Amino acid sequence: MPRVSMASHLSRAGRSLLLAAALMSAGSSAGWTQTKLSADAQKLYDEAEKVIPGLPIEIFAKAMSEKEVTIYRIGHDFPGVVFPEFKKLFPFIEITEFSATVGPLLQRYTAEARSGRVIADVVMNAIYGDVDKLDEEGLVGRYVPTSADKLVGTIRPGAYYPMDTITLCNAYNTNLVTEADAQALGTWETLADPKWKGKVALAEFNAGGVITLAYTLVDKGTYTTFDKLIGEQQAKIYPLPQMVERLAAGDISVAFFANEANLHKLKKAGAPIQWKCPTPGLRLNDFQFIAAKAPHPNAARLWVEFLLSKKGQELVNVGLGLGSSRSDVPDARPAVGQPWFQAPTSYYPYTWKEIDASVPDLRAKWEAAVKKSKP
Amino acid sequence: MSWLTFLLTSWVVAVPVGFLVYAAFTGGYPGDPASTFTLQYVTKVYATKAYLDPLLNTLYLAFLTATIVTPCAMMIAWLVARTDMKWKETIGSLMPVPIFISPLLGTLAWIALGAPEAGIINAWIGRGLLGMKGNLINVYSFGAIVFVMALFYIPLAYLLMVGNLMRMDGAMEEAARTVGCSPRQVFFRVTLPLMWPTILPTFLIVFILAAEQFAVPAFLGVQSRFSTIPVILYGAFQQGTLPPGEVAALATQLVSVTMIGVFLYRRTLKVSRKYVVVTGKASAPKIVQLGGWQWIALTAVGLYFALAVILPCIALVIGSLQRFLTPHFAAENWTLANYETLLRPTYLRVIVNTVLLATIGAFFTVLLGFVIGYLATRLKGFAVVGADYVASLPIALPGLAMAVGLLWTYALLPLPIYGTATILVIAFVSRFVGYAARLATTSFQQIDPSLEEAGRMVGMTRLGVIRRIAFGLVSPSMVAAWALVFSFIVVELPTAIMLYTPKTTTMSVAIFNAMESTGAVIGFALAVVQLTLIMIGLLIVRRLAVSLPSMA
Repeated sequence: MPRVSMASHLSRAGRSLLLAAALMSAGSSAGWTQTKLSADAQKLYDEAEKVIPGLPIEIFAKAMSEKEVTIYRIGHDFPGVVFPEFKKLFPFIEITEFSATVGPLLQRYTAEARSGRVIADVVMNAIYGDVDKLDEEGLVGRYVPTSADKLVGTIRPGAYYPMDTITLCNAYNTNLVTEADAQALGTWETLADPKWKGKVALAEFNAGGVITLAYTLVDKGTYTTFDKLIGEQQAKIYPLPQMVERLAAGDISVAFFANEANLHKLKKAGAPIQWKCPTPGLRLNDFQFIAAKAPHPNAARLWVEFLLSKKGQELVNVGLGLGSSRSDVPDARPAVGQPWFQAPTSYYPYTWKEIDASVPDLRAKWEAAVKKSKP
Repeated sequence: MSWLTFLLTSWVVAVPVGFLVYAAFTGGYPGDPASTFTLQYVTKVYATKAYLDPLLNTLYLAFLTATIVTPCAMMIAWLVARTDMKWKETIGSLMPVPIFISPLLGTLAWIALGAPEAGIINAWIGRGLLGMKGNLINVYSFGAIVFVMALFYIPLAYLLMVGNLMRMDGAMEEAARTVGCSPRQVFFRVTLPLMWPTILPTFLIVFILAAEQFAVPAFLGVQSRFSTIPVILYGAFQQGTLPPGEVAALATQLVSVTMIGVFLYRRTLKVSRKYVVVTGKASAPKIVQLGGWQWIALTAVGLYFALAVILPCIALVIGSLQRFLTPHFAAENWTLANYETLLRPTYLRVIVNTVLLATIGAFFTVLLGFVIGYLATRLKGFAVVGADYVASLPIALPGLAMAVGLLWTYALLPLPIYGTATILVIAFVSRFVGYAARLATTSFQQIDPSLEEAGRMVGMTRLGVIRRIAFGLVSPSMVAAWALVFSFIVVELPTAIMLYTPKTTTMSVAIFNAMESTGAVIGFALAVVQLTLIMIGLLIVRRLAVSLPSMA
């Protein structure tokens, strides 16, 4: 007797339904699901996808239920420039932010993560070696942003990606330094120029990743030494952001190795400052990573996607005064292109591994020079 | 109740210190299975030059500050309490104001006033008015550190001394005058020696507070390469540049310094019992006629207020209205944008956090202080004495060290407190319960227990007596204590800066962070708002016809 299949007893519609159910089941087991959004949510997603092409809908949907993101950020004006634009795209996400310099930011996250009390979703930083160690400990979340292939700079794939580009420059107060004298600031030989004696400021060593690159140049280069830079030049030492504020106020005439983002911010406010970025250029990136046990991982991913999108990077560039980390975002900062502005023509080659390895030695030399230079 | 109070007080105060000591001798993070007993951190901190130099700096700074503060405060207290100086009541009520400006805000203000090239005083008075080529003052110097700290510790020392001066029995001074001593001789031969038991503890308390101060040397000491233990401790903890065991050992070093101060303070208290000057049968002290010294005295006091209040407030307001700090007041540099920035949710939350934490923290601090004060004056026993002693420890414990201990205590223990406002409230209670307990003790000492005994005789329970009689009698002091602790919490920095999280940031922390990273002018705007909040609080207290207590 021939075996009769169940399907033969079904109507045509029934067979279609059975086929669709089978397909959906196969799709689910293969990890392929159709996320359904409400009409309003779909509208928001469509707008977001215009800004972030290829934005994964699942992340968007899950972020809608997470409703907030906590960002441990560095001191640029993200709340004034970037957060409002992010909120326009993702109004359902509340941003809680915590601002500090890179060292304290990372220290706080590390203490919280190691004790299992993660508060941050996203952590911005510039201390590569320490974050690499955190990644090895499993404290850095994994995520590859959709724009990863367009980013230029120091990348640890899956862990952290650059969110800006910073160049360290020599800045001067235009009320105290003539443009003729300022030409000398366009080379690193100026570090030893006696005409800046008593008029120059440096950032203190604890400033973090940014300044270790600068002092690596001092240590490894031929331009000067710590003793000459701190002692003979009678350099005044400030925390990095304060250095530029003191320059703007006129407390000092020249600031070596100033972070150009701080300079752009004060220039925008009308401060009488200009700067030149010598060759070889000292260029590095701030980056951000998602915490391994982020309380709101999908909202964190949305933030990362937004900041690394073209729009996000344009805000970083013109709004925050930082270089973009995307290769397809031109530098549109007002200072760039001014007759007094000088950009580097090539960049100092380094690896963060080498720099991190030399930090204890650098710190010891710095502290010895500071002690010797006691006023 | 005594034991409950003792255990509660010990928990909030002694346990964090215990964790600190534990971490100093084991290294690693608390709960880290890899940490073992070791003397390496303690040896390094206590016996190497790298740390002995900052230790000596800390002791020197504290000693010099206390040496300047104590006689200045004594002089103002004497002028207010014992002379016919004009407007002395007004001056007396204004004396606490610099406490609420705090050393942190004072530092900001004096950077704007006294920065070498760009300070307002150097630019306008030095170069502008006097035509100087150099600088009139340099705020980035050791002298300036002592100056700023002294300005803002003088009122505290004043409050510690003025009460005793007012209540002093005038009989001995009268006797000296009767035998022909001049007012000057009476002051130096009778008044001053009688005040030693108040002067010495005041000196020690200022010494302890100056030793633990970190904001002033952190901002002003970098240029002069002057480093103290609190500055290193804060930097090491924030930057993670030292192993946790070394950080803990540093914190214990700071505690050791202040504990020596506490030990000496308690020794002087024992000696002071031989010098009772406030008795039940006191005769009113004679008011000294200043005569021709009147205007000199007023000028001196006026100069102090100018330096401690008027100039700093002007500098803070000016800084808050600028796009960037500058002594050149061009029209285009004035802006309200800094205040607009404070309307952002982040800063509004900071302001609300501060008011809530200060209100709640002050309430629990005064409540615990009230209980300790009542028990200390009405009951006897080990638990009572223990609670009183433990409560007085935080006056001597550096806020930074306390915060490190609290951080590790609650990071380790499985209590959902870490990262919440609760840990901040616990920290503030720990920090200030000593002041509240002392004020409560002083108030209860002045009240005859027979009133409460009468209550018990008519059938009231102990709790009923406390609630309806004891609290009623001391409530004005407790409201004043609440106002004082509220203000202390609003301006408190060393503890808050170690324990805050994004959702529990206070104004002092936001101001400090603004100076470090986000922009000084925002810090100035926050400082003005903080001052305004405190002034509103003090005005409310004055409307309640309550005056701030002296702590003598």
